Parts: sequence; structure tokens; C-alpha cells
Amino acid sequence: MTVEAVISGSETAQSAINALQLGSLYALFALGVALIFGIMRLVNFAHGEFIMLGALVLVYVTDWPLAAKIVVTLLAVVAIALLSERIVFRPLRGVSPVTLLVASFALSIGLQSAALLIVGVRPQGATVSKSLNTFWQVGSVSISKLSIVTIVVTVILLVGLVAFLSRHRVGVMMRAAAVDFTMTRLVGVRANLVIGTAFGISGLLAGVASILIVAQNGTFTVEMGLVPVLFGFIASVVGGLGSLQGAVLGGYILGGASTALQIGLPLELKPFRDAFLFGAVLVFMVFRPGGLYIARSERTRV
Amino acid sequence: MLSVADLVVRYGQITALDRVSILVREGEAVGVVGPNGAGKSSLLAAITGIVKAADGRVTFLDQPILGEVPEELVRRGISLVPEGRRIFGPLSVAENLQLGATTSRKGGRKAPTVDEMLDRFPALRALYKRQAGSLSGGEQQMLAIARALMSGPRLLLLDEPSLGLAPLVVDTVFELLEDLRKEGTTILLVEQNALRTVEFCDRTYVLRTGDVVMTGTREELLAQEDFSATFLGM
Repeated sequence: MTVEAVISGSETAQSAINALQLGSLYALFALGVALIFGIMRLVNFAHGEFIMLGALVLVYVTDWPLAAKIVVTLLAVVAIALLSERIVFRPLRGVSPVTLLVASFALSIGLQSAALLIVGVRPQGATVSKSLNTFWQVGSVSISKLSIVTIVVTVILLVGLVAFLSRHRVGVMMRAAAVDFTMTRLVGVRANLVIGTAFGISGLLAGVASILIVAQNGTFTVEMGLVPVLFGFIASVVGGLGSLQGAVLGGYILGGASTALQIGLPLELKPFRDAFLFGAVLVFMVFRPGGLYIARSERTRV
Repeated sequence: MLSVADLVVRYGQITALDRVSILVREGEAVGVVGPNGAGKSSLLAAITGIVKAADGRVTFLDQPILGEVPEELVRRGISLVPEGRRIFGPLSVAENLQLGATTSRKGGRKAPTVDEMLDRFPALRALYKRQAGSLSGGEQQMLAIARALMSGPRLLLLDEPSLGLAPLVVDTVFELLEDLRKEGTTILLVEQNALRTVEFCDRTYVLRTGDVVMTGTREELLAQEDFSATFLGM
């Protein structure tokens, strides 16, 4: 093998890992958005703020042992998600999706402002674990531990979520609610249980995302929730809003496309990578406006 | 058992039900017939808490139930077989039945087990693991009724259970309702199939544009020329 072939081979492997890492993060963002949308027809734009607040918690507990940091962050974000549902969305049960959407914007702005009051506009440093930013050297490929951790954690969460939805009593209720929420209540399922669980899981996904993002960037800013929620929303639209498989697939496609553009675009166009990415999404939506998986409930409801 | 008094349901400017009163006694089978848009489905939607009533009183076992959420009404013993069946298509037959049993351990009633239900609906036993959406229309209707029975209801509401079914399957549905009535389940049956309903039920109410225009036993209604002319084409 020539030197060039070895280099391009290792570059391909490197890019594949990058794409999977990015795709895993996008899939986590998208799942958090899709889970709530499937049941409530609510695009929760405050999901990004759940992630931001998780990072804020990490700023405060940055010197704690790793396990304690992780547990406290996850618990805090789940609590914030549950409280948001209880205080903001539960009183709005039954209102139009547009009203819910506006409420989620209001919640998003409210949470951002609260964070601003607490820490101010300056970015704050936070670390998860220094060892995550080291590399494994495999031949000529250096693999960051964080990328492997991100991919593995995401796969574990996906498997866990699938198991919960297919085997657990409440998981079955959630799948039923995603098909026909009113009918689910008419067989006796408590709406609060299903929606509360959805927000709890969504909060857990957001908390994991906070930890992975901070592990990578090491910083907290008040606006850091915007990019995750944007990419999560776009990924779930590409996948088909309301479909969980679609959200995961959309996340990985978006991660792959983003990485491909990063490599393929000429140097002077690289800064505009996301513009090309969103342009491609736009073209895709023209040809397949319902996304990859059109949720069953949208298709069969007469 | 169920008393509906002066019930008013409005959708914006449109009045779907205008002071409708209906009484269902324990053990009775009561029918509600009427053309499209008469307010039949609105009546059930208001009783089950899906739509808010603008006015009126509804009591079940002498407790006011207007304003309660649907899941609380299931817990108290009201179960609905909705129009269009509304089974959970992507879920298995087994999961549909299990969901029906959500409240079975509450409310102090004796609810059937899945196995007992499959004895009653032998056809569903063979389809137990199948996706509910892949069942035929008749099988889906059986599943919808079985799902509603899983909570062990005292009052079974049915909204157009014969709609879109082959005549032979309609016979099966009515045979099943007859069995349930004999076992003591109280039934409120909403149907467009007026003759079948009037013949099956102890008493039937006739709704037209949100009003009760006639009511009576099968003999009383069939003797009325008005009723025969309007609903039976005689």
C-alpha cells in the first residue's frame, strides 16, 4: 500500500468516527424533541435550555468526583423538565399546538434569563473528565475517547429507550398515546403519567447531552442551548416529526452530511458549512415534506 | 345509573346538543339513533369528558361527572367503544388489551383477565401477537369492544359499532351485546342503524339536530308512523 492510500484510509476512518459522534449528539437532541412532539404535538424549544441548565449545573459541581457530577446533573435536568411540564404545560392541556409552541418559546426565554441572572453573560469553564479528551492511537488513526464514549452512551440510551417503550407498562402507554392520545385516556391511562414520563425521559436525554457537550467544549454560555435544539428539531423534521426511529435516523444523517460537507467543501466555503447543510435539508423537504418516516398517526387518522 | 339532564354542547357558534336529557337505568340497554349531525357522538363525547359541556348536569351512580377527565370516568366504570374503533394500530393485539386493563385493579370492580377475554373472543386468541392495524374491520371492532371490556365497566357506551361492517359481522356484534346485557352490563348504544338498535334496546331516544324528538320502547317507536317513515323508509 502506498503512503497516500494509508493516509486516506485513516482519514476515512477518522471522518466516520467524527460523523458517528456528531450524529449521536444530534440523535440525542432529536429524540428529546420527538418524544414530546409525538405525544403532545408540541415542539418544545425549551429543550435547548434544559441542556444549557445541565451545563450550568456542571459549572457549579465541576470539582466534584465524576460519578457525583453525572448523577447531580442528570437529576437536576430531569427535575427542571418535570417542573416545566407541571408549571407551564400542564395548565395549557388541550390548547392549540400554536399556543403550546409560543409557551415553549416563553419558557425558553424565561430559563435563559434566569441563567443570565445567576451567572451573567461571560462564558464559564467546566470540566467533566480530563481523561475523556485523550486519544487512543490505533495504527495511524487517533481516536478521541470522548467520541467513543458519546457513541456508546447514545447506543445504550437508544437500546434502553426501545426496551422501555416495548416492554414497560408505561412505555406501552406512551406508544399508544403517540398514536391516539384521547383514546389512550379513554381506556383509563392517566394523561399526567404519560406526559410526565415523556418529559422525564426528555430531561434525561437533555442531561446526557449537557454532559457530552461540556466534556467536548469545556465551557458554558447562556446561549448554548440554541444549536442543540435547532439541530434536534431539524433532525426530527428530516426523520419525520413524531417518529422516534425517524428522529434517530435524522440525527445520524445530519451528522454524516455535516461531516461530509466539512471534508468536501473547498476551504473558502467551509465557514458556510451549516448554510449548505440547511440548504440540503430544504431541498430534501421539497421532495419529501413528511420526512423519512411519516408518523403512523398522521397517516391513518381519519 | 346514568342521568343526563339539559345537556348543552357547543362548538363555537354551532350548537350540537340543545338541552338533551337521557336516562339509563341499571341493567338496561338504551339506544340513541338519529341521522348524521344529530349530535349522537357529541352526547358520548360530553359524557366521557372529551368535550366540555356548555351547560347541563350528568350524574353516574348519583355522582356528578361533568368536568371529570376521561381516565377518571373509566376508573368509575364507564367504558367507550368509540366510533371508527380507534384501536392502537401499531401496537399488538395483546398490548391493546393490556391497555384496556389499565384501571382494572382500581374502583373495586371485578375486571376480566386477558385470558377470560380471549375465551369470549376466540378469534382474537389466534391474532394475539399480531399488529392490531393488520386486522380486518370486523376483527378490529371485536378488539375495540374487548379492549373496552377489559376495565370491567358497569356502563358500556358504544358509538356506531356496526358502521362499515359486513351484515354477518354486525350480527356477531349484536349477539355479543345481547350476551353482555344478559350478564348485567348496562349499555348505551349510539347507532345509525335505527331498526337494529330499536329492536335490540329496551328504550331508544331519537335525536335530530341536537334535540330529542322521540323516545320510547321498541313497540312504541315502531308503532309511530313518524319514526317508521323517517328511519325505516316505510
